[in-house]
Formats: sequence, structure tokens, C-alpha cells
Amino acid sequence: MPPLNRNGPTSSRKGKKVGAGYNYRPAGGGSWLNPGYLVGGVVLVLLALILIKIAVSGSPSPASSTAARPAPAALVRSVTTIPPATLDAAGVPSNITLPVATPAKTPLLKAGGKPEVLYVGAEYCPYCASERWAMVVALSRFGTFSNLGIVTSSATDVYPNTHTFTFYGSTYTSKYLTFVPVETYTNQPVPGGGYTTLQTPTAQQDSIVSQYDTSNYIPYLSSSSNGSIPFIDIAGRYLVAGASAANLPPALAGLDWTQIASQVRQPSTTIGSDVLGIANALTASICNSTGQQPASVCSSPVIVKAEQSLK
Amino acid sequence: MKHVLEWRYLQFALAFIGLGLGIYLTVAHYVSPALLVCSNSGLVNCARVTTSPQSVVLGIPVAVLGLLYFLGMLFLTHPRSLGSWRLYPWRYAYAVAGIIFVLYLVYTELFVIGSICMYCTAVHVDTFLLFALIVTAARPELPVRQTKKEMASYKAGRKRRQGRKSWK
Repeated sequence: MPPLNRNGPTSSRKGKKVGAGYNYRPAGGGSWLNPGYLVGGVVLVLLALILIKIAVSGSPSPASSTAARPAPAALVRSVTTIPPATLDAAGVPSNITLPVATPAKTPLLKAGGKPEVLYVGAEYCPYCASERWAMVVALSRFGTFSNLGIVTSSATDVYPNTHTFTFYGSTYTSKYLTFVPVETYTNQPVPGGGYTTLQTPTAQQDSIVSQYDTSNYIPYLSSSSNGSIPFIDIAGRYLVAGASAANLPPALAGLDWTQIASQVRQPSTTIGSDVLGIANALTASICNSTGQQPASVCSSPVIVKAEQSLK
Repeated sequence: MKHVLEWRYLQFALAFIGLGLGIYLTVAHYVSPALLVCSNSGLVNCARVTTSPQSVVLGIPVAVLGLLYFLGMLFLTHPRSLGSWRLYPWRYAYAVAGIIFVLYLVYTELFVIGSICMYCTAVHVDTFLLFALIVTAARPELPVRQTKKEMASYKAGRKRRQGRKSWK
């Protein structure tokens, strides 16, 4: 190869194409690709975005969360009639945090002569939002929901606007257990912070939360997380606090109720695997509380195996 | 003309800083948004931004995209890479693609999510500085290919030089 012309091009060839070779062009130049124009253009676009936002709203305003309304019958049906084979296929994945067994001498929680499942949460709460999908699936195996509502979690909290059910105003009938939901707050913020109060726990419910929703009974809670929601007390025998699957709330992001319900029925999806897995874990703990009734649910090999894993 | 290797360490340092931020945001994305030492209310709300539906693009978390971007930028801005005229157009295009994506993310934060994330903004600033340095840096010297006449003249001269050597 001939040596390169390290002195640069000759003046006769400067700026002109020669044969099939390259020509040297100094950086910059007068074209629209002038670096100054590019950098300046980006700065202008950024400033424009900021100024438009300020002009339109004064300060960024987040999307508002959806207030509660009745759940469509088809949606409820799709989540409450999941075939047993689908539930068995999901099993209880290892990423699911299992309900924690209470000490042997813990008083049982009963209502109306039946084991009571107490749920304390809030409509704004994104972790409650994810947990409710599994709760609806699990409890539907022992009874029937009526007047379920749908809602989205807070628009300003983590995992904003997570689509979910709400237990507020719902009715649950079962011959095996009593389900007592307490949705303490709505998802509608109030000036000064916080959310509108929805339901006030009774003194007994407050006492249960104060005593059992703590790191003394739930080891995976830190002392700063005492009183976490969602909190589920299954007949005084098992406790759940917080989301049972850490990857479920982000998986629900951006999906509407129909999309979520569709994936719930597919154990191969993250949502399906987590929701059905949590439902199986909850089912196992409920079966331990109802004396393995109904047998059609509690005799499933998956549930029997899950019961053995519960401590 | 500015020497092409000017600012070589600054570009590389910025890529390194971006990589660190990308790692931090990626870990927070997969572990918990609580890992981010940041406000969680008001205009600055890191958890809200990093857990929003917009934090995933085409199924890939934006934090991971940023991590991969800065990995590539680390290679392209390595002091040894900066002198390469072959890599210059790639580095240029890479910087432009990065800043376009940053503009999209800023728009999303302001107009869709309604909050901004401190660490995301740091990444955006880092990307912008890299973009500014890369597009304003001088292009490495391109090799000048000879004309056909010069090639013929060189070959003729080479033959003469080879002939003299053989006589020795």
C-alpha cells in the first residue's frame, strides 16, 4: 500500500471527491449537522418541554386513580372459576412468601361459628392491589363473592394505578369460613396528604393488627414495617403481611382488569404463576383452618404439599 | 483543528459514571424501589417513575437499556477507541440515538408520569454531556486514498527501488 499522505490533502484536491477515495473534511462545517446546531437544538427541545409543562399546568400533575365501581360480571367470573387443573399446574412457586404460622397457643379467630379470614388493607395500597387478585381466586374455592368492585391503586404511590378489585361493599358467603374485609382508605387523596377514610376497623380488629402485624409474629417484617398492609389473619392460625410475591406488583403495571384476568388464567405467565401460586398458598392455610373442607379443594396434591410447607 | 484525542478521559469518565448510575437503577428495579435514596412524594418521586408502566419499553426495563447503553459507550469512548476513524460514525450515531431516547424519557416523566426521578435525571444529564462532547469533538483523521495516477507513480517508484536493492 502506498504511504498515507500524512500532511493532509493537497490544496488542489481539498474539499473535492477524488476517484473512489475518501476526502478529509474538518469537523463542523456549514451544514445542518453543525455540532453547535445539534447541541443547541437539543437544549431548545428540553427547554420547550419544561416551559410547556409549566405553562400548561404550573406543576406536573399526575394521572388520577380510578374510583371504585362495580366489577363486570364477566371479569368476576373469569377470576372465580379457574379450573382446578390450572391451579394445580401453577403449584406454589419458590418466589412466593408463604403465610406464617402463629404459635400453637394463639387464640383462633372465629365468627359465626366458622373460622374467620380477616383482611385489612386500603384501596390506595399497591401491594394490596396485587394481593387481592390471589385472594379472590383463593376464597372463591370456599365460597362465593357478590358485589365485588374494581378500583385502581393510588396514582401517586409506587406501582401507580394498579388495576384490582376492592372488597369494600362486597359480600362473601361460604359454609366453611367467614371473610371479613376492611378497606381502611380509598384511593382518593385529600389535601395535606393521606386518603379519604373508607372503613374503620373495630377495636378487636385494631387489637389483632397491633399484636400480630408485627415482626414478633411475622419474621420477614422489619420493626419499621409493623402494621404493614395488606394484612391477612387466617383464623388466627396463619398470618400474611405485605405482598406475597415481590415481582407481582410490577408485573401488573400498565395492564387493565381484563388483561390481568386473562393472564391470571395462564400459569406460564408471571402474573398467572404468582397469582395462582399465592392463591394456592392461601388455600392451603385456609384448608388447615377449615378441617380440610371442602375435600374437593383440600385433597388436591398441590394443596396437600403446600400445607406441609407451611410452618 | 482540535486534536481528536482531546477530552478523551472526560468522555470515558462520563460513560463510567453513567454505567454506575445504570447499575444502581437496574438493581433498584429488580430488588425494590425502596433502595433508591430519593423522595417518594411530590414532584420528585423516584419510586413512582421507576415503577411506572413507562419504565419498561418493549418488555425491557429502561434501567437495563441504560446500563447496556453505557456499556457500549464505555467501549466507544475508551481512549484507544477515540483515535479510530472507523468508530467515529458509530460513536456519533450512538450519542445521537441516546439523546433522542433521553428526550422521549423526559417527555414521559413530565407529561405522562407527572414526576421526575433524581437518578434518571442524572443519567439524562450525563447522556447529554456525552452527546455534546462527542458531536463537537474533531473527527479523527481519515486516511487519504491516492488517485490512480499517484498509485501508478508509486508502483513505478517501488519497482525502481526494488531493482536497486537487487543489484546490491
